[in-house]
This record gives sequence, structure tokens and C-alpha cells, in this order.
Amino acid sequence: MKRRGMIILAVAVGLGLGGLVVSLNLSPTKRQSLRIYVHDRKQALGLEPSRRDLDHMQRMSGLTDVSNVSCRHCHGIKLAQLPWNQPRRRHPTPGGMVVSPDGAALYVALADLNQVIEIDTITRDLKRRVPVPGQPTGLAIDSAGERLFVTCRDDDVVARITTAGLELTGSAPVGIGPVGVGFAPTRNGDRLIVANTGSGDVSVIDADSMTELTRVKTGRDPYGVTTSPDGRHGLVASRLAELSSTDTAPATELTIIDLERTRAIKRLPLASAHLSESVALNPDRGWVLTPMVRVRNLIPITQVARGWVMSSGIALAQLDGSEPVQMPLDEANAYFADPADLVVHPAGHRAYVASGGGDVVTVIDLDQMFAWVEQASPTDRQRAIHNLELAGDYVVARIPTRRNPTRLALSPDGDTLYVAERLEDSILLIDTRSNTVAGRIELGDGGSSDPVRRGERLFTLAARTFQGQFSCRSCHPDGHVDGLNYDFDGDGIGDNMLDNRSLQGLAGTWPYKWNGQNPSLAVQCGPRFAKVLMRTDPFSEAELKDLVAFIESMPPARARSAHLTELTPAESRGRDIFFATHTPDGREIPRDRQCHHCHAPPLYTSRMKTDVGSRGPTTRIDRLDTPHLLGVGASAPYLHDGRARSLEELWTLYQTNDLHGVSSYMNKHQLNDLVEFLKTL
Amino acid sequence: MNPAPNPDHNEGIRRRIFRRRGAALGLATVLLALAGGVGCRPSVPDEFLVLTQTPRAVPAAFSPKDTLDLLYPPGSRIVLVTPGSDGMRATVLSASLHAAGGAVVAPSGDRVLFSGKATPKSEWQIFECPLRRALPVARTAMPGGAMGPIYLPDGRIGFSSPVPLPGHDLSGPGRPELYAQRPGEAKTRRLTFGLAGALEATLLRDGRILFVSGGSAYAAITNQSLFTINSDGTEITAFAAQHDGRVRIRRPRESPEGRVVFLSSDLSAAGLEGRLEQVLAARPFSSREAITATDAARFRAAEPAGDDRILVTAEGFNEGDSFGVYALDPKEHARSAFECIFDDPEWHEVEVAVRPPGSKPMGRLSTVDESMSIGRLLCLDVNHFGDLPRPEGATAKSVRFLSPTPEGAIEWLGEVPVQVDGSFLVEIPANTLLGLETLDEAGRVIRRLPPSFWVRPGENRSCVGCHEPHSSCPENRRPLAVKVPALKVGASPADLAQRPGVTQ
Repeated sequence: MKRRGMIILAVAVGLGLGGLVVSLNLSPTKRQSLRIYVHDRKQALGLEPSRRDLDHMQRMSGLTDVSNVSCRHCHGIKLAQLPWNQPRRRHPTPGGMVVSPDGAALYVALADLNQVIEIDTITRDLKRRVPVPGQPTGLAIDSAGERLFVTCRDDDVVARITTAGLELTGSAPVGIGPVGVGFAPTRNGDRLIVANTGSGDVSVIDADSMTELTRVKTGRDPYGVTTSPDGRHGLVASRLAELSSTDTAPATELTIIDLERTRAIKRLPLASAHLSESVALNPDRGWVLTPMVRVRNLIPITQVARGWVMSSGIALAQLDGSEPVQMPLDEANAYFADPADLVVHPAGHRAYVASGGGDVVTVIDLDQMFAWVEQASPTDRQRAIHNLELAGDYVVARIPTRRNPTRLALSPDGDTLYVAERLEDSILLIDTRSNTVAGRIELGDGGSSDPVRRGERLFTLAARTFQGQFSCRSCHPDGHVDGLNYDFDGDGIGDNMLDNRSLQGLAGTWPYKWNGQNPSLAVQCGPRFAKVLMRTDPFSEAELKDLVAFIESMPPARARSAHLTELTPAESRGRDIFFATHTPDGREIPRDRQCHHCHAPPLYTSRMKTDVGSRGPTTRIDRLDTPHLLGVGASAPYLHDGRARSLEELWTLYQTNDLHGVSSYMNKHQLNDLVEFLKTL
Repeated sequence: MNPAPNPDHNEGIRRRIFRRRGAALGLATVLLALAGGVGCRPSVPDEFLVLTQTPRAVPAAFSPKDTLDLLYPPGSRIVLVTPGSDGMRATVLSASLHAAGGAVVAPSGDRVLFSGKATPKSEWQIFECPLRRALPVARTAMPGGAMGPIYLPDGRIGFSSPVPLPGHDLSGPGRPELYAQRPGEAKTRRLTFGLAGALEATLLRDGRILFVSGGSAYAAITNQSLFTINSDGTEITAFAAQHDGRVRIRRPRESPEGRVVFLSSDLSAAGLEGRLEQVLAARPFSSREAITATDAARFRAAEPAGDDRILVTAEGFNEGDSFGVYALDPKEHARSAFECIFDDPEWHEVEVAVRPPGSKPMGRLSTVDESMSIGRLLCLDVNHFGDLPRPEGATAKSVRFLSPTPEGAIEWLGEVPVQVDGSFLVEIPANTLLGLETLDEAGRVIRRLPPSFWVRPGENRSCVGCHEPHSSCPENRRPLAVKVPALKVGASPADLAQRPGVTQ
């Protein structure tokens, strides 16, 4: 009673102050803020809204019952105030690493600090650092050890640094979101290949002139690259599966590129594989190795045990393009999630895999593994990834690391393995002769006092799922999408196959889930999530707070080149269509069918449930959450069940009676323009 | 342990170890303590042992009524042993009871659960006792008694009930099942449903309950093997030793470094001792091995020590020696020297328990919905036989569900059709032991799974195929069965014919 009295008093004071301020001739914006405030307080107290407010809410929402509608569904959001737009603490987080050909220096990209550093491998001291703007991510070094090449993921460039002076000496524009980079001395000159994650291609760069020679289409989200020692081949591993129907097993692409002819010569599908973030070559045997997650998204998630949702492995392929073999890294009751990087020892007998979710480096006896593959029947090869007894035959050691080992580098003699412990700001040194820890280079304090850092540690930690089978990141690489649909059994087996949604740019876009039932991220990631997916204890309240802090710190994905500053003519025309209230011939578009009505800026969502005629054969409800559109161009597929493989398909294949915005008047050029605008959001 | 000693052992392990530990007065201290000479203990130290001691001599007139009487004859007791400044100190925790044994220590390290018998005529029940000096409190009142307690991650305790009769083969009436009970509540929840007994439960680090069962009581398979369930009784799963012959398995325990150690003996052997074996928790089906080089069954218990070693209770090396507590390194195998940790010559130390080493086992939110009476079973491809030979030309067209009657006969619950891809999704009665037969077009049985699994209310259970390999993941394929509503076992053929989407 006392608390209630205090609330009423506060509201009364608020109302009084409000009236006072109104009498002081407030600006329209401030007056609106005041109205929202007063309305919120009345709603909190269970009081009826005024007739004027009711009319406004019914008219704008298109709903008769507005009991669940608040002013804040449409008002009061400012992008500048969202967590992902706030300054945040930066960490010396180790990313891409490369060792100089003489083994004397280790170069490390610190994406968060926009620096590349040089570490003396003998003294293990930091020798020099060079500022590299634009989130330096991937590193490569030329054969002579004179030039470093750095991908700048935010700026869409690859930069060149001299090792002598550690100075930037040039850069080349590339595709969207470059990550992996490889150096190849070809007969036609020194070449770089750069994996452009956002544009789904690789740039082939002349390393001397730093000019882009060509772009070669790859699989979705190309990430890891390597080159053959003779400079003839470039190998590209892609993270996301090609878009297919919801009943078809996904497949990622391993692309083999002829670097002299600068074109793809093999496109090897890796069945049901995704999140391949690295690729390595065993030149003596001609095997290409890429770590991968074997996903089982077509099966209802009735259980997690026995790799029912996903398991980890290595895909083996031959340069000649024969059918790849997938070998398990996991065992029946022990899983090593998120295999992020793989390197092969120069002698060719061992491979090392960093499990970013499992905090382990797995040492593989390649002789044993290849021996098994070579004697196996085609059927056994095909089933190998499902056999969780196999790894015991070729896994030599599992070496524990600190949190989130994601990048590996071997010294030229192969005796020392450097492991980037990403979320601890440290580099682990492993003596590969004994498979023991040889030391650690501390780059910072680990950032444990930063809730965003703590949240990311939870987000990437597989130990919070049953037997460590996967982490949040396993389905949300970089907090984004994996492009797959899943069938959770919490709502019935076979019902509601659901498209995975991006967590980037999510702050302020409540409610969550496709049915819009979760009012906050803390609820979304809470006990129900633990029951349905983690199959373990739920996150504690403090952990949830950190996890939400991390998720809300992620800005929206980017589907547009950083080199474009202003809207193109097509994008401008598309913007006009998006905000149109009338068709070009003057007919009025009903308010609730105007794009910006439901997808209202600045988040491009009304945060209400809407029926856009997308109900599918297994969908139980018509009205679904209106997704925000920030980064929408990078988050295919679309609709709640992922049936639309592109933005175009939303209106060419899956539009029903103009329920999803009036599009029947558009010609193909207008539709293209609209899509181009959406990709700018 | 191989008690055949090397020459270094001639002096007797017991005396050597006490000398090594600088505890020459240890035995005297122990005896003094047991005689009541131990004073007030302010707190429980981190390092301690909880022992089950049995008398060296059992009254000739004593006739065991059940298996616990056999294991823990009158006078058996639970003893807390701690290192003190003046040697090992011991305190009897079960002094108020007629007999006690089978202690487990809480993860918090401040309490123990054990089986106890208040009077010669009373039944065995589960007692709990703080490690500070206190009297044990009965936690269960199960008809037929209770045994084999464990602490579950959510604070409940688990146990088996009833206590089987001596020589009981774990099948048939009177077989023990696993139960869970919240402290302070009388209501118990049954977790297993008649596989063929459920005994010797222990908690794995991933939160599952590992237990010993007799296999299938309905398939003439009488060997004991290891199974797991979740702490709510869901996902009954074979763990190890299902195909390893006629063995009896006792006291499985998981170590922090991922081994499950246990004792095994021939099913027909009369003794209480067993061989010391282990499997790797990561791949238990392909890693079973003996820890000691001999097959001599001389061990009564094994417990991970938390430092890569195993604590075992075993007979001493000399004729007439009592059972004592020893430590050994499982990686050393036969070369290992057994280090005597504790041995009171007046008693047999037959079991040892320590504070569970390593991190706390993972918990789990239950998926059981007690308001429901059914669960669902999804089979991805009933025509997938794994490594087993597939009968030529045999393709399953339907599945028949079986369940045992209280009289022990097998009852047909009904048939459901199989989709063309071999999948089926069916609603089945919960908390009921079930088996199934796959039938070809003419109704002939292709394969038969005897009653050996169950679902809990609301549980969604899956299998890859018919007798799939135990360590096999499924193919990533959308089963046709999930595109239509789940079928009900027992639906009439007319009902089934009207079901939409059955493509068979």
C-alpha cells in the first residue's frame, strides 16, 4: 500500500509538472514525450487512456483492442540512445595471427583496438604496434616476410604493411566485410585472395600494385582462405549454407580457385556442414582440410544428446574435387563445439583444431585419419561423421585453453603453436613436440570487469549446453544468423519450423520470438531456452544481465559496401517506395499496408504482431512479430519459416493479397529499387 | 588389485603407509577416537573420508533377509575419518543405527546420505547426516526399503527401492526402481519403469544418472549393464556393457578426468567382491578395460580421489588381513603400487566415499509434464539397422507396440503404419515399459525390441533406427512422419485410414 501510494503521488506530481511544463509552451517533441510519459504512468496504474489517445492508438495500430499497445511501440526510440551506439570498452582481443618466415616475429591483429602488433617470439614481448583503422581482422605475410596484408572488416579494404618499418604502405578496396586473406606467389606475380563475408565473393588482388584484379563468387559468407605453396590454388571455406528449401539439407561450399586464371575451378558442396571458418592444405597428400559443424536442423530437436542438433568435424577434400569426407571431432559423450581454426604441421603428420566453444585445442594424427579414410568403403566414408567412436582413433590430445580459442598459427618449424584466446586477451603457446603448454602471452587483463565481455564469454561458451554440444554462437556466428531453420519441440514435433533470426541490432526491438511472446531478452534467454535447447541449468540472473548487455551491444549487420556513402539512385527510388502513401498512379495505399507503418523508423518495426498472410502449413498463428529491418539485407532467408530465400521472393512468391504491403502495382524495376533500399538499412 | 605382493610389500602395506605418512600414532588415535576419545570438532576439514565399516565377524545366527543385510551385516557403520594433528581421527556417524552402509557425500561436502537400518526388524531406509556431529535423520519411508542414495543437482535425493532379496536377478516382481524425493517432502517420484531393476545409481558430471540394470527382463538377457537417464527419468539410454556377457556390475563412479570406474564380477559368482574396470565417459562402448592386470575379484568399492587416482577398498596382502582403503593410479595398471590410505585391523573398510571431486554436475530443467498421460516417440528410419544385417527384402510397413502385463505376459498395445521413408511419430502411454516389433507387409515380424524403454509424461523421445549403433548421430533428413500429426497407439484401422498424410 505504501508503495502504491508513492506511485500515485509520483504520478500526481508528474501530472502536475506536466501541466506546468505544458503551460510553459513546450516544443511539439517535448510535448509528445510528456504525453507518452503520462500515458505510460496511467497504463502502469491500470487507468483508461483518454479518448484522444485511444483514437490515436486504434487508428495507428489498426487494432480495436489496444490494451497491449503502448506509446513506446512507435514513439520514444532514438538510435543514438541504443546500447550499440554507445561508447564501449575496447580490449586487446587477439584475432588473426601470422608468424614471420624466420619465426622471429608473431603478428597479431587486434580488431577491437584497430591495431596490428608485433611480438618477439623469443622474448615474448610486444615489440611494436601500428594503427590500422577499420577493424583489422585477417593477416597474411609474403614469402620474404617483408609485407603484411591485413583485412579491415569495417572499411572493406585490405591494407599492406611493411614489416621493416611496420608502416601502412597501401590498401585496396574489396568486397563487403573482408576477413580471411591469403598470399600466393603465382607465375603472374604475387597475389592476395581476400574472403569478403558480406558480399559472398573473394577479391583477387595484385599484391604489388594493390589493385583488385577480379572477384570470384564463392559460397555464402566466405571466411577462411589459404593458398597452395606453389601459388596455383586458392582455397575458400564458407560459413553459411547455400539457401535452399526448408526440406533440403543445407550445404556450404568449399571453393577451389585457380589463381593464375583467377577463376573458380571446383565448387565442392559440404553436405549439412556450416560454420567452416578456416581451411588448410596438406600439400604432400593433396588433402584440403576445413573444420565444420555438421548440423541436423531438419530433425526436430527432441533431444540434444548424441549430436542430435549438431556436432563438430573436419571436412577432407582432394584438390581434384573428389567427394569430400567428413570426419568427427566429437565423441559420444564429449563435444568440442565451434571448431574455428585448423592448421597443419609443416611435417604433415599432425593437425590442430581450435574449438572456440569448447576451449580446447584438439591434436589430430593425420596419418591415422587418412589411413582410415583410404581404407574405408564409400558407405563408411559417407557415415563417418555420424560415428562418434571414430575420433578416438586419431585424436592424440585435447589441450585445454582459456576462453574462446579462435585463431591458430604455427611457427615455421612447427614446434610452437600459437593459440589466440580471444576473450581472455591472451595467446597460449603450445609445444607441439610434447603437446604441453609452453607459456602464455598476456595482451591485457582479460576484461572480466566488462559486462559486455562477460556476456560474450557466456554467448560463446558451449559448457552451458548439455555435454558442451554447442554455444549460442553456434547458431548465431558473430551474433548474426546461420541462415537455417530449426524445429523446436517445445511447440510440438514438426510444427513451426522456424527461421533463425539475427541478434545484431536487436536492442530496443522487443518483443522477441516470432510469436512475439517474449517481452525481453532476459526472458528470451531464460529458463525456457535452457529447457528447450540448452538442456541444462538456466543462466543465473547475473549471467543473463551480462548476456543481454553483450547482445544489445551488437550493431546491426551490414549488407552495403563501406565505400558507398550516399544512396544510389536505385536506393533513393526504393526509399520513396518504402515511404509511399500512394501508388504512382495516385491511389491511396491503406495505412496498415504502407511499408513504414509496420516497419516504422528508426528501428523499422512497430514491435507489434501483424498478419502478412505468411501462415504456412505448420504455422499455428496468423499474427507474427514484425521483425526490425536493420541489417535485413544480410539476414536471408526471410519469413518466420525461412521459406523466402531472398527479399525479392517476399513479394514475388510469398505475397498474399497485398497483405505484406501493397506490392501488386510494382513492376520489377520498382521491386528491385525497394530491395536495394532495404539493403541499406 | 592384485594382492600378490612384490617383495617390497612383505612388510605389509598397512604399516608402511602409516610410516610414510608420519602417522605412527594413527592407529592408536583411530582406536582412541572410536572408543569415544574424540573431542568436539569445530568444522569439517576439506580432506576427509567417509567409510563403511563392517565387523570382521558376523554372528553365526545372522540370516540376511535382503542384499543390504548381506553387504552390511549387523554392526556395520558409517565412519568419518579426518586427518588431525595427532593422526587420523574417526567419528561414527551412524552410531544410533543397527547397521549402515553405502554412503555418498554431498557436493557441498557437509553431509552424507547412506542406507541404514534402525533396528534388526526394520527395513533399510535412506538416512542423512551432517558431517558435524549429529544424529542421522531418516529421509525415506519406502515400503520394501531403500538403498543406493545419490544427491541430485536440483537438491533432491535419489535412491533405489525396494531392496532386492539375496540372489535376486533384478528381473521380475520386487525388482528395485529409481525414485527421487525432495528433502522434507513425503512424495516420491519414480524415475525408472521396469527395465530390469535399477541399482547403484551415481551422478555423471553432465547431470545424468548412471545406474546398473539387468538389461531386459523380457529378452532372456540377464547380464547387468550400465544405463543413463536424466534426473527426471527421461531419455533412458544404454551407456556401456550391454553386449559384454554375463557380468554383474557394482558401484560405477565417474572421475573428474572422464573415466567411469566400476567393479565387475561373473553373474554367477557368490562373493561381494569384483574386478576393477573402467570405461571412458566420452566413448564408453569402445573403451572398457581392466584397471589391474589380474582378473582377481578382490575389490569391494572404487571411488575417484580427485587427483587422478582411485580409492579402492580391498583385502590386504597377507592372510587374514582385513579390507582397507588404498589409492592407485589407473594409468599405472599392474605396475602401480597400492598406497594404503586407511586400515583399521578390527574392521573391514568395505566402501569409501569422498567429497565429489571436480566441478558441480550440470543440472537440468525437467521436460516432464505430469498433467499428461502420454509421450511421443519419433523414429527417423525404422529400416535403418546400423551394423546389423538386414533381412533380405524386408521393409517395415508398420510397428507394433508391446508392453508387459503385471503377470509377466506381453500385451500388444496396437500397431501404427510407417511412412515410406521408414519414419513414424507416435503417441505412447507414459511411464510404461514398452517394446516394439517392426512388421512387413504381410505382418511378419522383421525385428523385435523387447520391452526395454519408456517415455515420461510429455517427453518427446527419438531414435535413429532399429538397433542403431549406440554412438551414432542421425542423418540430417526431414522425416515424413513429422509432417503429419502424431499417430496414437491403439487407434483402430478405420481411424488410421482417416488420418491425413499417411503416405504408406
